[in-house]
Parts: sequence; structure tokens; C-alpha cells
Amino acid sequence: MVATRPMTIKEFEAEAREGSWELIDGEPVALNPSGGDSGWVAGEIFAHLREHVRTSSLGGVFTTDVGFILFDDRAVVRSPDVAFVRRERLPELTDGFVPMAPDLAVEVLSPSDRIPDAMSKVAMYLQAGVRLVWLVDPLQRSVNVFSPDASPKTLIESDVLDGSSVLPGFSIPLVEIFI
Amino acid sequence: MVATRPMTIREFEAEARDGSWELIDGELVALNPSGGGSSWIAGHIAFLLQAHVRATNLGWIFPADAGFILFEDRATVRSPDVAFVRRERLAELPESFVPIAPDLAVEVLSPTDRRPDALAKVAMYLQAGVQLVWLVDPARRIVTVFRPDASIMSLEDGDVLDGGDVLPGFSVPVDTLFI
Repeated sequence: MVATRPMTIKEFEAEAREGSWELIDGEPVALNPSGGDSGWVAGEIFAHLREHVRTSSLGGVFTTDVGFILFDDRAVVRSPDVAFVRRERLPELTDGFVPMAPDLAVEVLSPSDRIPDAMSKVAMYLQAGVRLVWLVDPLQRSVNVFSPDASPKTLIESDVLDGSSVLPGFSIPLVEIFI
Repeated sequence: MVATRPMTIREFEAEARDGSWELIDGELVALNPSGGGSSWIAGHIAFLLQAHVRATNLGWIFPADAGFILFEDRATVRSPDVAFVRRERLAELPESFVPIAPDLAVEVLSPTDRRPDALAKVAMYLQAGVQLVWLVDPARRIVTVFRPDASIMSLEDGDVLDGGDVLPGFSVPVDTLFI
């Protein structure tokens, strides 16, 4: 392995490249395209969140192509499949990356995703201060809910996913997001 | 911060130090002593596993002070609260650190543990090839089960925790694990 100099966020942002990439501690990592099923589920979740946030004026909902700078002191830019930032925290949006961790991050597992990598991402979100993470498994039709101060919680298709204190008033029966 | 040279596993093993430590990518990290409740639960789980493993001759159970070299190419030595290694993978017990990742790793949350860090440890176990991880939360009486190739599942009172393919025949009601 050739040791290369870690890339800075500024360099990562400036350089054009094909496809979707994240920056993890200075190392660019390619994101696989989602499968159709998981892309559809992510779209459903986005649509429900968008509708709720629009009527309640709670903040901004982002799709998967947005990069978030998760830490002040690490060269990490990651892109949740869906993300939400509360209005009070929402910065003046520019064309650059969002300079903070989101309040909610949603990851939808694709057949090409490995659970160990997905769990690393979930743990990193929580370490960055994300208050609520939904890890959605379209194949098993389940959602695992993570937060920094509670045990992981498994929801199945007959359960209702709610926004807790991060998205007050938001709830959605899981049967509505799976195909 | 002063940049220091990363420590090797050999140096980590050779040097005597007070307290419990892990080595994470060449960096020494102190382990806090557990609370009484979580330590008791870890001991209880080790006892139940040991009885099963002894009767079935499946392999070895280790309490919290064993160090495991998780990766061949990273200077990482970590200590699960309880661990199991199948006999086929480890014929004899070494005096030095266990040179492979365990088959089962159990982490029992203590009041001083931060959940994001515990989840990061779980993710690292999975990336190291651990086949089964139990994250036990005494405060909320929940056990979350992680496997590299299956859904994450949180179990609570009324559910049964089983050993799956890793520990065939082992099962225990979740409510009996807690005090």
C-alpha cells in the first residue's frame, strides 16, 4: 500500500470526480449506487419528512447527494441517504458542504451494503452529535433506531416510526415506506 | 497535541502499566472500571456461556481481561467484557494476547460508557470478522444482537437470546440476565 497524504475537506470539495464519494479521515471512499428498492424507500422517507417539515416549519430535509462536515477537527464528509437539520441550527446554505452534523440521519441498506460498514457509519454519526439515526433494512422490512442516550430499538413492519424530540409530531407506519 | 509514534502490539504487550488498557490503531486507550451491576451481569453471562461450552466442548470463554488482536494489519488489541472462541480456531490457549478476533463478543454497558463509543466498538468487532455481538444494556434491560450478515435485533424482557450458528444450543431468556 502506498501511503498518501490525507486529503483535506477543501481539496475534496474542489476536485471533480465521477460518482458519489465520502471523505473519511482524509481518505476518499466511493459510495455504491443504491439498489432500486432501497432508493425507493429512501425517497418515501424523504417525501414524508419533507411534508411534515414543510407544514411544521421545523427545518430542512436533505437528499443523499449532500455532504455534511461531521467534525470540527477531522477531515470527514459523509452523506446520509436522508438527513434533517432543525431550523435553529440551519446555516445560511451555500453551494458548499453543510458545515455541521445533521440532527437526524437516515441510512437505507442496499444489497451491496455491509452491516459492519453501516454500523461504523451509525456510530460515527452518533459520535458527531447526531441525535437520531434510522438504519432502514428494506429486505427485512425493519428499522433500527439509534440515539446517543438510549438503547438501539428494532421496529418491524407493523410498528410506527416516530420522530421523538428531534422531529416532534412526526410519525409514520412502517408499512407505508416499504414496497 | 504532541504527535507520538503509534505503539506496536509488541510494545503494548511488553510494557507493564496500571489499570486496563486497549490499543486502538497504535493508540493507548484506558478502560474505565465497570460499575458493580454491569460487572455482575458480565460475570453471569460468562458463567452461563462457560457451562454451555464446557458441556458441549465448543471452545473457550474469556472474561474481560483478555486482549484480542482484532486485525492482522492494524495495531489493535481490544477486550470484550465476555468473549467466546471456537475450538477449531484456537487449539491451545496462548500466554500472550489471543491472536484472532473472537467468534462472539459481549459488551455490557456501564454507567460510564458512552453509547456512541460502545457502538463504534461493536462496529469494529464486526469489521474484524466477529460473527456475533451482544450489546447488553442493564439500565434498560435490552440486549441488541449484531451479526455481519443479518438484521440488527433488539431483545427485551419476554424475548430469548440464543447463540445462533456461533453457539448452537445456547439460549437464555433475556429477563434472567438482569438483576
